[in-house]
Amino acid sequence: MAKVTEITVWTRGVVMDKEARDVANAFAQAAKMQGKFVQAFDNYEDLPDRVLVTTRKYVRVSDEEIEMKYLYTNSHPDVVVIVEPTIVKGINVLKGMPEGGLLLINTNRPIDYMLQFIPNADVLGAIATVDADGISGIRTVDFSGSEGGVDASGLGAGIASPILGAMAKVTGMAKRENLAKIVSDVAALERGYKEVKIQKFRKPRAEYFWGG
Amino acid sequence: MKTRKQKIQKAKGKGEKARNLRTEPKNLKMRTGGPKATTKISGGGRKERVRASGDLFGTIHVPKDRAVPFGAITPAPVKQQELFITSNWRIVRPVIDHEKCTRCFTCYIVCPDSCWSFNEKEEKMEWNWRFCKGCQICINECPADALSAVPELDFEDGVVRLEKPF
Repeated sequence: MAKVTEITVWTRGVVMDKEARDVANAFAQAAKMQGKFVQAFDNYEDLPDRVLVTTRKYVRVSDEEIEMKYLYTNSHPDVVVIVEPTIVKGINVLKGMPEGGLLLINTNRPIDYMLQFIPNADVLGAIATVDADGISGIRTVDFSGSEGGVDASGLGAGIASPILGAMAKVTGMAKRENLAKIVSDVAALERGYKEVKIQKFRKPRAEYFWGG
Repeated sequence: MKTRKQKIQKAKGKGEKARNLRTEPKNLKMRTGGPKATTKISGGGRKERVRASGDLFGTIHVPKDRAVPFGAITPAPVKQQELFITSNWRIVRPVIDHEKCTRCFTCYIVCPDSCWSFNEKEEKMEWNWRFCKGCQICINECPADALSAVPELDFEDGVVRLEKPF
């Protein structure tokens, strides 16, 4: 089996649930348009129905067919996306990350300030931040879609589009052009692509090329 | 950490009737005041009884003459559940201005997780950071505007780093 790149998206239950689900689904869809094999699914073992509780969404991207059918969590995430920055304070988000992974945080604070909350940051290959709240100007777009039934606002509304643009830039696994066909807010996607800040720590492993 | 059995034995040792610790908190019985309780309060044995119960269970310190049922419905929890710390649910935290605070105990009443208590020695309200989820009800309800919401990332302390999401 070829290398499977695991992406974990951390978010808060109910209030930012829909945005993180859009991040996972749209990124997997854009990677699929490039001919990759993908899986995207919601949390299985968290408590997503409680307001503000930390929950996860998962994406897997590979060049060959993915055989991890019955594993519902990413135990070794190569990329960790933090939709709400306070999560880095309360959770060990880098748990299981292999050497040279990537952490992307939605925050307007400097990278050095965020690093003080991550004591095990030495496993990171790179850290990136994007101010998605500032770009989209809105955080919670819809409560109705939190169970996946109704999506009136469209895929990628709110903070999901800038985060997707930043992910396209720093991971290079999905193309910006493909994401622009999927998301509803293309202008925010472009701004996220342009305004993401990245800091590299070490020469990443051969299969990673963080920074686009 | 004492087990429940040991507590019952301790209560028995003080010459009190053993009772179900979970369903029959002693303070509630006294506050609601059946005929038996009333006679005992007027008899002057109240202080000793309250202090004894505080030693036995108490972590919430509120003056006994001002104690009301928590949430105005049930007796206040008297024990901390260390296995379910939820401080990582918080995005903002309530910060109190002790000069503006009038000790009206509104925050103590409205907090769904009983995170506000009164420090009798220093005469000020204390905030329990372990269980505060940042719901901001106390900030909205404070009549003196003594509480304000400050982003959690402005502080270096205050959140335990958990290995599990909840």
